[in-house]
Amino acid sequence: MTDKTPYRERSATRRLVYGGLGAVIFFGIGSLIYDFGLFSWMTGTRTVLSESEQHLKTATQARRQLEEERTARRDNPDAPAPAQPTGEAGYFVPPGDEELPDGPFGESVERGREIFRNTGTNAGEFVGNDLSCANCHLDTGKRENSAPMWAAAIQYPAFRGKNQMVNTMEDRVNGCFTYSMNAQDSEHGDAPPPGHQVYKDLQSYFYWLADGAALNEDLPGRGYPSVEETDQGYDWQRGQQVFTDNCAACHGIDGQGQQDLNGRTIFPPLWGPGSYNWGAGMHRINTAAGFIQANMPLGKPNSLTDQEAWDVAAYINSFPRPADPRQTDKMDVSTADERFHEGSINYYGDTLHGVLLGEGITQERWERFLRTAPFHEPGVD
Amino acid sequence: MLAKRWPIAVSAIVVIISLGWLVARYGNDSSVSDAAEPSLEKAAVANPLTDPLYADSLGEIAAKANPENISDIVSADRGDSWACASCHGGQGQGAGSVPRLAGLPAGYITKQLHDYADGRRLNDNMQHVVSSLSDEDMAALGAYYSRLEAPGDTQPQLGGNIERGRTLALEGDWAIDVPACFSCHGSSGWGVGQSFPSLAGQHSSYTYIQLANWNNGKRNNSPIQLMRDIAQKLSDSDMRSVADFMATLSPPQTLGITRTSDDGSRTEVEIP
Repeated sequence: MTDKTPYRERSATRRLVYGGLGAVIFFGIGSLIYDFGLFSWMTGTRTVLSESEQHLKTATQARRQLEEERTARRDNPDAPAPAQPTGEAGYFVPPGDEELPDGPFGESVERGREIFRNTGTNAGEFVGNDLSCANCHLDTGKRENSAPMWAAAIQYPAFRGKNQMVNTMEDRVNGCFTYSMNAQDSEHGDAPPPGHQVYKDLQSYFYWLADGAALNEDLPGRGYPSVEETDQGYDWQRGQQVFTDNCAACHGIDGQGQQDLNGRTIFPPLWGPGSYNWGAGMHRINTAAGFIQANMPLGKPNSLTDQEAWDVAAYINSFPRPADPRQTDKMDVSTADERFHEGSINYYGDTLHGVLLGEGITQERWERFLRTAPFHEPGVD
Repeated sequence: MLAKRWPIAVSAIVVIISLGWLVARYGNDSSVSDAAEPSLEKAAVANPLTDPLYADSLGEIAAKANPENISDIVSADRGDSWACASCHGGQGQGAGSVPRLAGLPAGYITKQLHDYADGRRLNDNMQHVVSSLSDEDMAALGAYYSRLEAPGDTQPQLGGNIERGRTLALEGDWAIDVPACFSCHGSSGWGVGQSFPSLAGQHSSYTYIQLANWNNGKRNNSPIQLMRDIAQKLSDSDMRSVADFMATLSPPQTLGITRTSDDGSRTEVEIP
């Protein structure tokens, strides 16, 4: 076999040519299969769903199953009660736009959603600052751990310690206007009067979002999560660095937020005359810490440690903001502190940055504060 | 023996070349050719205290810059470097994977130039071009392009799902922790402040390549890594969809200078 004949030499060349041609042909076919994405079709494997598509698929199935179980129960009263639609991450799945009913109720839901999304435009006469409902209830009130409305809608009426009475959902929304949207400084001067259409539309929206949830159920993702207390406690001075590193790019080093070219508030002010007042839930450092850790910065949920969340929440709530509207002219801050702020974690009534927190904001006070504020404009030393 | 084996060697070489070609052709999602490694060390070196507000401070500098002095840089080739306009167009309108610059925030543009110069943003062409620019030039260029006016001429070109793109822009996809694009880039995608550039009217190829680069780590220079975290959650088709959707929108109106109407008359634009 060591003997080489001319024939075998030619054969090697020919084999190489044939082999090369074969390789080119196979390569061409392979390229075509790749280009047209035929591989998964040939092997019978399904295209892998993206994470988003997987979530959507589970959510859609959950809603469809709810519909099927309801239909089954209409036909047969002995059929089991429909299960709550639950998504990929274990949270309640509210209905999607395709389930929006026709007619006056659907229209009310849509109006409610627009008020919720852009309160200053769609219920402007009752808004005394630059905030919207959706600033604190993200994803238009659908986001778990961001006080979602599908969880709140099934919890009221209920007794509340804050005002020592049974609260309806209208009362809760009234509170949001009064405190979080600082209605005292609005055109109307107060929250919408009882029975106002704004309440009806917002409640329609909440009720619709909770479709399929059981009354009074404590749904996962309800409210804001609590951040565990840390050994070091909270400290606004430590929070200043956390704020600069994580919040200032959007909310500004001065915390006053930013608007776009249309004049729409894109990043809401976190303190000062355009923010929530001293009666809002967010002025409680623990509440703010929970919201912040679970939701901020946008797109980076749960990126802050417990300590950072506490400290930055303290920093944000260490500055002046509009007065608590329950503190009437004749009531001083220490009385209001005792009556309305006892037992809650906050700086109300403390003197920080040379300001008595709670005394409310006048133009003169705000300007005086700005001159001595512990933050400064970027680029200015 | 050698005669018998050389076909094997040739085949091996052919296979290696083919594999190399395949990797070159399909190995990278984006069509950019600058194959530098992601600059993770640089990111770690960047001062975290000033970084989130870098564009804001540069915006203040750019606001005082004089754009008159940089007309040569914009429109004339200099020695071994070339004019901005030779790629970005005479009106800063860009094309394909070259971005539209007209109407972007001055601080944003200036920051990108600094980032190229300091290796925080990677692109062979841009890194070469900025190497001859002074800080003053960069600020003046930022001011110039932020005030420049160019008509919107973009079309979706990536075969993306426009409706999906619209949803991502207006609502986000919270199941994967992606907020609405417009919750930071403004209610019509016209940008916010100095750090958040307009997206509306940007070329779809450019937007897509940036998202892909953030996704794969090649671009790494957004404030508090916001865009990296968002892009890493987007699928390739999501990136195409949202890039295509942005190209269907009108670019921002220019900031407080004249604009030309269809009939040729020029009017002052009032910005609130």
